[in-house]
Amino acid sequence: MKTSTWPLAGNLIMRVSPFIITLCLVLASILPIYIQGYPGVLPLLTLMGVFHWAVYKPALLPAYSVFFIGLIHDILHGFPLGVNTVVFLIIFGVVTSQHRFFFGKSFTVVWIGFGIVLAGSILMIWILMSLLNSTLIKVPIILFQYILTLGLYPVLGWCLLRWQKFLLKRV
Amino acid sequence: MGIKDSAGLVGNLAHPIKTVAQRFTYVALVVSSFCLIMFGRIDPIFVERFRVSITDGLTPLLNVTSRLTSSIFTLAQEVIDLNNTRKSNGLLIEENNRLLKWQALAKRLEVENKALHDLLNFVPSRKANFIAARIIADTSGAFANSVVLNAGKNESVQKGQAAVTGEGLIGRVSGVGFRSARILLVTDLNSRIPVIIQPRKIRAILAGDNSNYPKLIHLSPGINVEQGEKIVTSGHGGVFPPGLPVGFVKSVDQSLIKVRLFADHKRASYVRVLDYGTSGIVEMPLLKLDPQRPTRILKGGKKSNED
Repeated sequence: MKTSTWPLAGNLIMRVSPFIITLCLVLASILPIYIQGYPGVLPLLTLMGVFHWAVYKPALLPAYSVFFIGLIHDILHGFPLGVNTVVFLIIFGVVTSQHRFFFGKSFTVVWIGFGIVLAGSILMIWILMSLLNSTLIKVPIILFQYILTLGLYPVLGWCLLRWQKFLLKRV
Repeated sequence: MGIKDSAGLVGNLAHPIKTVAQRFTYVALVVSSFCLIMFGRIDPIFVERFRVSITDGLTPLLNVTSRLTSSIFTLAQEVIDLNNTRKSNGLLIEENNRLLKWQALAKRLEVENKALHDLLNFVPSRKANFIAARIIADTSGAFANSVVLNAGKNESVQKGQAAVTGEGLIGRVSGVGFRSARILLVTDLNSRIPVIIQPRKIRAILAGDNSNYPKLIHLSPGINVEQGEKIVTSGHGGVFPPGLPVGFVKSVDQSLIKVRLFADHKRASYVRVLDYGTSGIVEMPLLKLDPQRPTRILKGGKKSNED
C-alpha cells in the first residue's frame, strides 16, 4: 500500500513544492530579526528561490507562479507593485533561455551564474526604484545586500537541491 | 498505423502551439507587471488598499511565524544573558543608585512644574493613548524600510499616527487594515518629518535615505548645527505631537547633516502607536470653537479624550 501511495503523494509534493518553498522564502525574508547591531539588510531569499527553480525545475515554477510570487513579494515588502514582479519574470526568462548552458554544470558554475543574474536584477530594481522615487538610491547598502545574498546562495541552494533529490528518489 | 500517424501529427502541432502559448503568457505577464507599476502611480490609493487587504489576510500567518522567530531569538538571548548575569548585576546596582538620584530630582521638578503651571493657568496638552503592538514583519532593507504591526483599525490605529519604542520615534503609520498596520520607518526614502533641533529650536525636516542615519534638510540658511544636538518632533503639520525624541546630530559635513536615531526597531519586538486624538495626515481634525473650552471633534463625530 505504501509503495503505491508514495509515488502519487511524492509527485504531488514535487509539483507544488517549488511554488510553496518560494512563497515560504517570501515570508522568511520579512521575519523580524532581533540581533543587536545587525545592519537590517536581509539577503534576497525570494530571488534565490526563483533562480534555483528556473535553473533546475523551470516546468514546476511556471511564469504565472513567478508573477504571483513577485506580486506577494512587492505587497509584503512595501515595494511599488510590479517592481519585483517584473524583475523576477525577467530573471526567469533569462535563466530558462540559458537552460542548456546550466544543464549538467557544477554548482560553482551555477553560483557564478547566480552572481551575474543577481547583479543584473539588483541593478534593475535600483533603476526602477530610483526612477519611481525620483532620486538615486544609495549604493553601499545595495552592495552589502549583494554580497550577503551571493554568500548565502550555496547554503540555500544546497538545501533546495537536497530536497529535490529526496523527492525525486521517492517519485 | 493511421491512428499513430494522426497522434504524431497532433503531437508535432501541439508542441509549437504550447511553446507559442507559453511565450505569449510570459510576455503578457511582463507587460502586466509594467502596467501594475504604472497603475500604482496613477491610483496609489487603490493600490495601497489592495496591499493593506492582502497584508491583513496574511496577518495570522505572519503572527505565528514572527512569534516563532521571536521565541528562538529570545531563547538565544537568554542563554547569552545567563552568561553575563554576574557582570550585569553589578552594573544594574550601580545604575539603580544613579537612577534613584534622578528620581528624587524628577519628583522635585514635577512639584515645581505643577506649581508653575498653576501660576500661569497653563492649559495642558492632550494626553496620548498608547496602542501596543507586536512587529510581525520587518521589510527594512536597501530599497524600502517599513514594519508591519499586528494591530489595525480594530485597535483604533489610524493612518498618520506616530510609532515609538521606549527610546524614541521609529516611524508613522502609512497603511492600516483591520488587523494590521504598516509603519513607514523614519529611515525610509519616502519619510519626511518636521523636527526641531534643541535647545536652539531650529526647525528642519528629517528625511530618510534608506541608510541607518537619516539626514536633516530644509534648514534656514546660515544656521550652524553642532554635533550631539538633540532632535525632537516639532509637531508642525499636525502629523506628530511635538517633543517626541528622535535622535541627535551624528555628523555635520558641509551641507550634509546626519542623525543617529535614539530608537532602533531591531531591538524592540513591540512598539507603541500614539493616539493623540489627531487624525494625522489623512483626516485632518475639524476644530470646533467653544468659548468655554476647546473641544476637538474627530471625523465621524467622535470626540477625542481631551483632558
